[in-house]
Amino acid sequence: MAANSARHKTSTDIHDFLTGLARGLAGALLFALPMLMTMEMWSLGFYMERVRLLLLLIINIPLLVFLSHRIGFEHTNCWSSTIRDALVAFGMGIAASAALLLVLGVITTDMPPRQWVGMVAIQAVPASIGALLARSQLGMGADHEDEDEEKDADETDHSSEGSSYVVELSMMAVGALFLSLNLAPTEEMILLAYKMTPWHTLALIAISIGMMHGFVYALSFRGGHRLESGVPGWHAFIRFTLPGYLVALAISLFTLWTFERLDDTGVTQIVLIVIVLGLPAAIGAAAARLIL
Amino acid sequence: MTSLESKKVARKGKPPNTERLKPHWIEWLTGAVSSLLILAIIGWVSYEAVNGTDTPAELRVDIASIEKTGAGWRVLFDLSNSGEATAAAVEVRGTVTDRGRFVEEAAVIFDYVAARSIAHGALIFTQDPAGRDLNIRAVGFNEP
Repeated sequence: MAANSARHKTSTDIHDFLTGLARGLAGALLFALPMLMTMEMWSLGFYMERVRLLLLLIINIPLLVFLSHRIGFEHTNCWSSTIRDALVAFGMGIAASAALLLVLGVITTDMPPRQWVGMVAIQAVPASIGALLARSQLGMGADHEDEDEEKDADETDHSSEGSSYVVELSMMAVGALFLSLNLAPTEEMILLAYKMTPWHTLALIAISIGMMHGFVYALSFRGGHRLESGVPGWHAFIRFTLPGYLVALAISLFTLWTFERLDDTGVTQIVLIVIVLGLPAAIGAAAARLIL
Repeated sequence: MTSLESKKVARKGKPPNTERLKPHWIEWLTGAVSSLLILAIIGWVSYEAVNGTDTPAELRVDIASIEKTGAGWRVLFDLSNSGEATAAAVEVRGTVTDRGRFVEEAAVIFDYVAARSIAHGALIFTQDPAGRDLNIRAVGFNEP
Protein backbone atom coordinates (compact mmCIF):
# COMPACT_ATOMS: atom_id res chain seq x y z
CA MET A 1 0.00 0.00 0.00
CA ALA A 2 2.67 2.42 1.04
CA ALA A 3 4.88 1.39 -1.87
CA ASN A 4 1.94 1.76 -4.20
CA SER A 5 1.23 5.32 -3.14
CA ALA A 6 4.92 6.14 -3.36
CA ARG A 7 4.98 4.88 -6.92
CA HIS A 8 1.88 6.88 -7.69
CA LYS A 9 3.55 9.98 -6.31
CA THR A 10 6.68 9.42 -8.40
CA SER A 11 4.66 9.01 -11.58
CA THR A 12 2.79 12.28 -11.00
CA ASP A 13 6.10 13.95 -10.26
CA ILE A 14 7.44 12.72 -13.58
CA HIS A 15 4.24 13.82 -15.26
CA ASP A 16 4.58 17.30 -13.73
CA PHE A 17 8.22 17.46 -14.74
CA LEU A 18 7.46 16.48 -18.35
CA THR A 19 4.59 18.97 -18.49
CA GLY A 20 6.98 21.60 -17.22
CA LEU A 21 9.51 20.68 -19.92
CA ALA A 22 6.85 20.81 -22.64
CA ARG A 23 5.67 24.20 -21.40
CA GLY A 24 9.25 25.40 -21.43
CA LEU A 25 9.77 24.28 -25.02
CA ALA A 26 6.45 25.86 -26.04
CA GLY A 27 7.50 29.10 -24.36
CA ALA A 28 10.93 29.00 -25.95
CA LEU A 29 9.35 28.75 -29.40
CA LEU A 30 6.64 31.31 -28.66
CA PHE A 31 9.13 33.93 -27.51
CA ALA A 32 12.00 33.16 -29.86
CA LEU A 33 10.12 32.63 -33.14
CA PRO A 34 10.34 36.26 -34.27
CA MET A 35 14.12 36.06 -33.84
CA LEU A 36 14.47 32.56 -35.27
CA MET A 37 12.84 33.88 -38.44
CA THR A 38 14.89 37.07 -38.70
CA MET A 39 17.60 37.02 -41.35
CA GLU A 40 19.94 39.37 -39.46
CA MET A 41 20.00 37.00 -36.48
CA TRP A 42 21.34 34.17 -38.65
CA SER A 43 24.21 36.19 -40.05
CA LEU A 44 24.97 37.77 -36.65
CA GLY A 45 25.45 34.25 -35.35
CA PHE A 46 28.54 33.78 -37.45
CA TYR A 47 29.98 37.24 -37.87
CA MET A 48 29.53 38.86 -34.47
CA GLU A 49 32.61 39.18 -32.35
CA ARG A 50 32.97 36.09 -30.15
CA VAL A 51 33.78 38.14 -27.03
CA ARG A 52 30.45 39.97 -27.29
CA LEU A 53 28.55 36.75 -27.89
CA LEU A 54 30.23 35.20 -24.86
CA LEU A 55 29.36 38.26 -22.75
CA LEU A 56 25.71 38.03 -23.81
CA LEU A 57 25.60 34.33 -22.93
CA ILE A 58 27.23 34.90 -19.54
CA ILE A 59 24.93 37.81 -18.66
CA ASN A 60 21.98 35.58 -19.55
CA ILE A 61 22.79 33.19 -16.69
CA PRO A 62 22.25 35.52 -13.67
CA LEU A 63 19.26 36.93 -15.52
CA LEU A 64 17.70 33.47 -15.81
CA VAL A 65 18.49 32.75 -12.16
CA PHE A 66 16.74 35.97 -11.20
CA LEU A 67 13.70 35.09 -13.33
CA SER A 68 13.71 31.55 -12.05
CA HIS A 69 13.75 32.84 -8.50
CA ARG A 70 10.74 35.05 -9.26
CA ILE A 71 8.63 32.49 -11.09
CA GLY A 72 10.42 29.22 -11.63
CA PHE A 73 9.44 25.87 -13.15
CA GLU A 74 8.55 24.62 -9.73
CA HIS A 75 8.08 26.71 -6.67
CA THR A 76 11.64 26.91 -5.62
CA ASN A 77 12.77 27.73 -2.18
CA CYS A 78 16.43 26.86 -2.26
CA TRP A 79 19.10 28.35 -4.46
CA SER A 80 20.35 25.04 -5.84
CA SER A 81 16.99 24.24 -7.44
CA THR A 82 16.62 27.83 -8.65
CA ILE A 83 19.96 27.59 -10.40
CA ARG A 84 19.11 24.14 -11.73
CA ASP A 85 15.87 25.48 -13.22
CA ALA A 86 17.72 28.37 -14.82
CA LEU A 87 20.22 26.00 -16.42
CA VAL A 88 17.43 23.68 -17.60
CA ALA A 89 15.76 26.68 -19.23
CA PHE A 90 19.03 27.64 -20.95
CA GLY A 91 19.38 24.05 -22.15
CA MET A 92 15.84 24.00 -23.49
CA GLY A 93 16.47 27.31 -25.21
CA ILE A 94 19.49 25.83 -26.94
CA ALA A 95 17.65 22.63 -27.89
CA ALA A 96 14.56 24.45 -29.16
CA SER A 97 16.50 26.94 -31.28
CA ALA A 98 18.83 24.28 -32.70
CA ALA A 99 15.86 22.07 -33.62
CA LEU A 100 13.91 24.86 -35.28
CA LEU A 101 16.89 26.27 -37.18
CA LEU A 102 17.50 22.75 -38.50
CA VAL A 103 13.88 22.31 -39.55
CA LEU A 104 13.83 25.70 -41.26
CA GLY A 105 16.95 24.76 -43.21
CA VAL A 106 18.99 27.63 -41.81
CA ILE A 107 21.49 25.19 -40.36
CA THR A 108 22.73 22.63 -42.83
CA THR A 109 24.99 19.66 -42.24
CA ASP A 110 27.81 21.04 -44.38
CA MET A 111 28.17 24.14 -42.21
CA PRO A 112 31.36 24.56 -40.18
CA PRO A 113 30.76 24.39 -36.40
CA ARG A 114 31.76 28.04 -35.90
CA GLN A 115 28.78 29.08 -37.99
CA TRP A 116 25.99 26.97 -36.53
CA VAL A 117 27.22 27.08 -32.94
CA GLY A 118 27.11 30.87 -33.08
CA MET A 119 23.63 30.85 -34.63
CA VAL A 120 22.22 28.52 -31.97
CA ALA A 121 23.98 30.36 -29.13
CA ILE A 122 22.57 33.75 -30.04
CA GLN A 123 19.02 32.39 -30.41
CA ALA A 124 19.28 30.49 -27.14
CA VAL A 125 19.20 33.74 -25.15
CA PRO A 126 15.65 34.86 -26.02
CA ALA A 127 14.50 31.23 -26.21
CA SER A 128 15.68 30.51 -22.67
CA ILE A 129 13.92 33.63 -21.35
CA GLY A 130 10.79 32.37 -23.10
CA ALA A 131 11.20 28.92 -21.58
CA LEU A 132 11.26 30.42 -18.09
CA LEU A 133 8.41 32.84 -18.71
CA ALA A 134 6.24 30.04 -20.07
CA ARG A 135 6.10 28.54 -16.62
CA SER A 136 4.52 31.66 -15.20
CA GLN A 137 2.35 32.69 -18.13
CA LEU A 138 1.22 29.44 -19.72
CA GLY A 139 0.94 27.34 -16.59
CA MET A 140 -1.55 29.09 -14.38
CA GLY A 141 -3.38 26.05 -13.08
CA ALA A 142 -5.91 26.60 -10.30
CA ASP A 143 -4.03 24.18 -8.06
CA HIS A 144 -1.05 26.45 -8.11
CA GLU A 145 -2.77 29.63 -7.16
CA ASP A 146 -2.71 29.02 -3.44
CA GLU A 147 0.95 28.25 -3.61
CA ASP A 148 1.51 31.37 -5.65
CA GLU A 149 -0.19 33.49 -3.08
CA GLU A 150 1.68 31.88 -0.30
CA LYS A 151 4.92 32.47 -2.10
CA ASP A 152 4.03 36.09 -2.73
CA ALA A 153 3.18 36.55 0.92
CA ASP A 154 6.47 34.98 1.89
CA GLU A 155 8.32 37.24 -0.43
CA THR A 156 6.66 40.34 0.93
CA ASP A 157 7.62 39.27 4.41
CA HIS A 158 11.20 38.65 3.40
CA SER A 159 11.78 41.62 1.15
CA SER A 160 13.40 44.48 2.93
CA GLU A 161 12.85 48.09 1.95
CA GLY A 162 15.48 48.31 -0.77
CA SER A 163 15.26 44.85 -2.32
CA SER A 164 11.77 45.12 -3.82
CA TYR A 165 12.92 48.29 -5.57
CA VAL A 166 15.93 46.45 -7.03
CA VAL A 167 13.62 43.60 -8.08
CA GLU A 168 11.33 46.10 -9.80
CA LEU A 169 14.24 47.62 -11.74
CA SER A 170 15.60 44.16 -12.60
CA MET A 171 12.24 43.11 -13.99
CA MET A 172 12.22 46.20 -16.15
CA ALA A 173 15.69 45.24 -17.39
CA VAL A 174 14.44 41.76 -18.35
CA GLY A 175 11.47 43.18 -20.25
CA ALA A 176 13.64 45.76 -21.99
CA LEU A 177 16.24 43.14 -22.91
CA PHE A 178 13.61 40.86 -24.36
CA LEU A 179 12.10 43.43 -26.72
CA SER A 180 15.55 44.85 -27.55
CA LEU A 181 16.77 41.41 -28.59
CA ASN A 182 13.81 41.23 -30.96
CA LEU A 183 14.52 44.53 -32.65
CA ALA A 184 18.19 45.43 -32.21
CA PRO A 185 19.47 43.02 -34.89
CA THR A 186 17.21 44.45 -37.61
CA GLU A 187 18.51 47.03 -40.02
CA GLU A 188 15.37 49.10 -39.51
CA MET A 189 16.63 50.46 -36.17
CA ILE A 190 19.63 52.24 -37.68
CA LEU A 191 17.67 53.19 -40.80
CA LEU A 192 14.99 54.89 -38.65
CA ALA A 193 17.65 56.76 -36.72
CA TYR A 194 19.19 57.95 -40.00
CA LYS A 195 15.82 59.15 -41.28
CA MET A 196 14.81 60.95 -38.09
CA THR A 197 15.84 64.49 -37.25
CA PRO A 198 16.71 65.49 -33.65
CA TRP A 199 13.20 67.00 -33.39
CA HIS A 200 11.64 63.62 -34.14
CA THR A 201 13.93 62.12 -31.51
CA LEU A 202 12.78 64.58 -28.85
CA ALA A 203 9.16 63.65 -29.56
CA LEU A 204 10.08 59.95 -29.34
CA ILE A 205 11.66 60.43 -25.89
CA ALA A 206 8.48 62.11 -24.64
CA ILE A 207 6.30 59.33 -26.09
CA SER A 208 8.51 56.57 -24.64
CA ILE A 209 8.43 58.01 -21.12
CA GLY A 210 4.73 58.80 -21.34
CA MET A 211 3.82 55.29 -22.52
CA MET A 212 5.98 53.73 -19.84
CA HIS A 213 4.22 55.65 -17.10
CA GLY A 214 0.78 55.18 -18.64
CA PHE A 215 1.21 51.42 -19.07
CA VAL A 216 1.86 50.88 -15.38
CA TYR A 217 -0.16 53.56 -13.62
CA ALA A 218 -2.83 55.12 -15.78
CA LEU A 219 -4.35 52.46 -18.03
CA SER A 220 -5.43 50.11 -15.21
CA PHE A 221 -4.27 46.88 -16.85
CA ARG A 222 -4.51 43.73 -14.79
CA GLY A 223 -1.41 43.68 -12.63
CA GLY A 224 -1.10 47.44 -12.89
CA HIS A 225 0.17 49.39 -9.93
CA ARG A 226 -2.01 51.68 -7.92
CA LEU A 227 -0.64 54.59 -6.03
CA GLU A 228 -1.36 54.74 -2.34
CA SER A 229 -3.73 57.57 -1.57
CA GLY A 230 -1.71 60.58 -0.60
CA VAL A 231 1.24 59.75 -2.84
CA PRO A 232 1.54 62.39 -5.55
CA GLY A 233 1.83 61.00 -9.05
CA TRP A 234 5.22 62.58 -9.67
CA HIS A 235 6.73 60.50 -6.86
CA ALA A 236 6.26 57.28 -8.83
CA PHE A 237 7.34 59.11 -11.99
CA ILE A 238 10.71 60.09 -10.48
CA ARG A 239 11.29 56.87 -8.54
CA PHE A 240 10.14 54.30 -11.08
CA THR A 241 9.42 55.63 -14.56
CA LEU A 242 12.56 57.71 -15.09
CA PRO A 243 15.02 55.12 -13.70
CA GLY A 244 13.09 52.55 -15.74
CA TYR A 245 13.57 54.58 -18.91
CA LEU A 246 17.26 54.89 -18.14
CA VAL A 247 17.44 51.11 -17.66
CA ALA A 248 15.69 50.69 -21.02
CA LEU A 249 18.18 53.01 -22.73
CA ALA A 250 21.12 51.20 -21.10
CA ILE A 251 19.78 47.82 -22.24
CA SER A 252 19.21 49.09 -25.77
CA LEU A 253 22.77 50.48 -25.84
CA PHE A 254 24.07 47.10 -24.66
CA THR A 255 22.15 45.05 -27.24
CA LEU A 256 23.09 47.41 -30.08
CA TRP A 257 26.73 47.19 -29.05
CA THR A 258 26.49 43.41 -28.80
CA PHE A 259 25.07 43.19 -32.32
CA GLU A 260 27.80 45.52 -33.64
CA ARG A 261 25.36 48.20 -34.75
CA LEU A 262 27.34 51.06 -33.21
CA ASP A 263 30.89 50.35 -34.34
CA ASP A 264 32.70 53.40 -35.74
CA THR A 265 29.50 55.43 -35.53
CA GLY A 266 29.53 59.06 -34.40
CA VAL A 267 28.30 59.86 -30.87
CA THR A 268 25.24 61.79 -32.03
CA GLN A 269 24.14 58.91 -34.25
CA ILE A 270 24.66 56.46 -31.38
CA VAL A 271 22.41 58.56 -29.13
CA LEU A 272 19.72 58.66 -31.83
CA ILE A 273 19.84 54.90 -32.49
CA VAL A 274 19.71 54.12 -28.76
CA ILE A 275 16.65 56.36 -28.36
CA VAL A 276 14.90 54.69 -31.32
CA LEU A 277 15.42 51.25 -29.78
CA GLY A 278 14.56 52.81 -26.42
CA LEU A 279 10.88 52.96 -27.40
CA PRO A 280 10.33 49.19 -27.64
CA ALA A 281 12.71 48.66 -24.71
CA ALA A 282 10.69 51.07 -22.56
CA ILE A 283 7.43 49.35 -23.47
CA GLY A 284 8.99 45.96 -22.75
CA ALA A 285 10.16 47.26 -19.37
CA ALA A 286 6.71 48.58 -18.50
CA ALA A 287 5.01 45.38 -19.64
CA ALA A 288 7.39 43.30 -17.52
CA ARG A 289 6.23 45.19 -14.41
CA LEU A 290 2.66 44.19 -15.22
CA ILE A 291 3.26 40.60 -16.27
CA LEU A 292 6.02 39.24 -14.05
CA MET B 1 -6.51 29.98 12.05
CA THR B 2 -3.76 28.22 10.15
CA SER B 3 -0.56 29.95 9.38
CA LEU B 4 -1.53 30.13 5.72
CA GLU B 5 -4.76 31.91 6.55
CA SER B 6 -3.07 34.32 8.86
CA LYS B 7 -0.55 35.08 6.14
CA LYS B 8 -3.36 35.80 3.72
CA VAL B 9 -5.03 38.11 6.19
CA ALA B 10 -1.75 39.83 6.81
CA ARG B 11 -1.31 40.21 3.11
CA LYS B 12 -4.75 41.64 2.58
CA GLY B 13 -4.27 44.03 5.46
CA LYS B 14 -1.00 45.31 4.04
CA PRO B 15 -0.76 44.74 0.31
CA PRO B 16 2.73 44.56 -1.15
CA ASN B 17 2.97 47.99 -2.61
CA THR B 18 6.25 49.04 -4.15
CA GLU B 19 4.95 52.60 -4.37
CA ARG B 20 5.01 53.12 -0.62
CA LEU B 21 4.53 56.54 0.90
CA LYS B 22 7.85 56.34 2.75
CA PRO B 23 10.38 55.00 0.25
CA HIS B 24 13.99 54.25 0.98
CA TRP B 25 16.36 57.15 0.34
CA ILE B 26 18.16 55.07 -2.33
CA GLU B 27 15.01 55.21 -4.48
CA TRP B 28 15.05 58.98 -4.46
CA LEU B 29 18.77 59.02 -5.20
CA THR B 30 18.28 56.67 -8.17
CA GLY B 31 15.36 58.78 -9.33
CA ALA B 32 17.36 61.99 -9.08
CA VAL B 33 20.39 60.58 -10.93
CA SER B 34 18.14 59.14 -13.67
CA SER B 35 16.32 62.46 -14.07
CA LEU B 36 19.65 64.25 -14.46
CA LEU B 37 20.93 61.76 -17.04
CA ILE B 38 17.70 61.85 -19.05
CA LEU B 39 17.71 65.64 -18.93
CA ALA B 40 21.30 65.53 -20.20
CA ILE B 41 20.25 63.32 -23.13
CA ILE B 42 17.31 65.61 -23.92
CA GLY B 43 19.67 68.58 -23.66
CA TRP B 44 22.13 66.97 -26.07
CA VAL B 45 19.46 66.17 -28.65
CA SER B 46 17.92 69.65 -28.28
CA TYR B 47 21.34 71.20 -28.85
CA GLU B 48 21.72 69.11 -32.01
CA ALA B 49 18.20 70.06 -33.10
CA VAL B 50 18.86 73.78 -32.73
CA ASN B 51 22.48 73.98 -33.90
CA GLY B 52 22.77 71.06 -36.29
CA THR B 53 23.28 72.11 -39.86
CA ASP B 54 21.92 69.80 -42.48
CA THR B 55 25.06 69.50 -44.57
CA PRO B 56 24.93 66.56 -46.99
CA ALA B 57 27.23 63.58 -46.65
CA GLU B 58 30.89 64.28 -47.36
CA LEU B 59 32.80 61.12 -48.17
CA ARG B 60 36.51 60.48 -48.14
CA VAL B 61 38.49 57.30 -48.74
CA ASP B 62 41.73 56.51 -46.90
CA ILE B 63 43.68 53.42 -47.87
CA ALA B 64 44.56 51.40 -44.77
CA SER B 65 46.62 48.55 -46.17
CA ILE B 66 47.45 46.65 -49.34
CA GLU B 67 48.14 42.93 -48.95
CA LYS B 68 48.59 39.99 -51.27
CA THR B 69 46.02 37.26 -50.70
CA GLY B 70 45.10 34.08 -52.53
CA ALA B 71 42.54 35.90 -54.66
CA GLY B 72 44.79 38.83 -55.54
CA TRP B 73 45.68 42.13 -53.89
CA ARG B 74 43.31 43.16 -51.15
CA VAL B 75 43.15 46.90 -50.56
CA LEU B 76 41.55 47.69 -47.18
CA PHE B 77 40.24 51.23 -46.85
CA ASP B 78 38.27 53.46 -44.46
CA LEU B 79 35.34 55.40 -45.86
CA SER B 80 34.61 58.36 -43.62
CA ASN B 81 31.63 60.66 -43.73
CA SER B 82 32.29 64.08 -42.25
CA GLY B 83 28.88 65.48 -43.21
CA GLU B 84 25.84 65.71 -40.96
CA ALA B 85 23.63 63.48 -43.08
CA THR B 86 23.89 59.72 -43.51
CA ALA B 87 24.67 58.36 -46.96
CA ALA B 88 23.04 55.16 -48.19
CA ALA B 89 24.01 52.82 -51.03
CA VAL B 90 27.44 54.42 -51.35
CA GLU B 91 29.31 53.09 -54.34
CA VAL B 92 33.09 53.06 -54.10
CA ARG B 93 35.20 52.43 -57.19
CA GLY B 94 38.90 51.86 -57.44
CA THR B 95 40.96 51.97 -60.60
CA VAL B 96 44.51 50.93 -61.27
CA THR B 97 46.21 52.80 -64.12
CA ASP B 98 49.73 52.43 -65.42
CA ARG B 99 51.03 55.73 -66.85
CA GLY B 100 47.57 56.70 -68.05
CA ARG B 101 46.77 53.24 -69.43
CA PHE B 102 43.74 51.61 -67.78
CA VAL B 103 44.66 48.31 -66.06
CA GLU B 104 41.86 47.24 -63.78
CA GLU B 105 38.74 48.40 -61.95
CA ALA B 106 36.99 47.12 -58.81
CA ALA B 107 33.85 48.36 -57.01
CA VAL B 108 31.93 47.84 -53.80
CA ILE B 109 28.65 49.20 -52.39
CA PHE B 110 28.16 50.24 -48.74
CA ASP B 111 24.62 50.01 -47.35
CA TYR B 112 25.13 52.97 -45.01
CA VAL B 113 27.80 55.39 -43.95
CA ALA B 114 26.38 57.18 -40.91
CA ALA B 115 26.86 60.89 -40.34
CA ARG B 116 30.28 61.70 -38.80
CA SER B 117 31.17 58.03 -38.87
CA ILE B 118 33.54 55.60 -40.54
CA ALA B 119 32.84 52.44 -42.52
CA HIS B 120 35.44 49.84 -43.49
CA GLY B 121 35.67 47.89 -46.71
CA ALA B 122 38.02 46.33 -49.22
CA LEU B 123 38.58 46.16 -52.97
CA ILE B 124 40.28 43.20 -54.56
CA PHE B 125 42.51 43.57 -57.62
CA THR B 126 44.06 40.75 -59.58
CA GLN B 127 47.18 42.77 -60.36
CA ASP B 128 49.57 44.42 -57.95
CA PRO B 129 48.68 48.10 -57.56
CA ALA B 130 52.17 48.86 -56.23
CA GLY B 131 54.16 51.00 -58.63
CA ARG B 132 50.99 51.92 -60.51
CA ASP B 133 48.40 54.63 -59.88
CA LEU B 134 45.69 53.44 -57.51
CA ASN B 135 42.67 55.73 -57.25
CA ILE B 136 39.77 54.89 -54.93
CA ARG B 137 36.79 57.21 -54.48
CA ALA B 138 33.10 57.23 -53.66
CA VAL B 139 31.20 57.83 -56.89
CA GLY B 140 27.69 58.34 -55.54
CA PHE B 141 25.14 57.79 -52.78
CA ASN B 142 21.49 58.35 -51.97
CA GLU B 143 19.66 59.52 -48.86
CA PRO B 144 18.35 56.81 -46.57
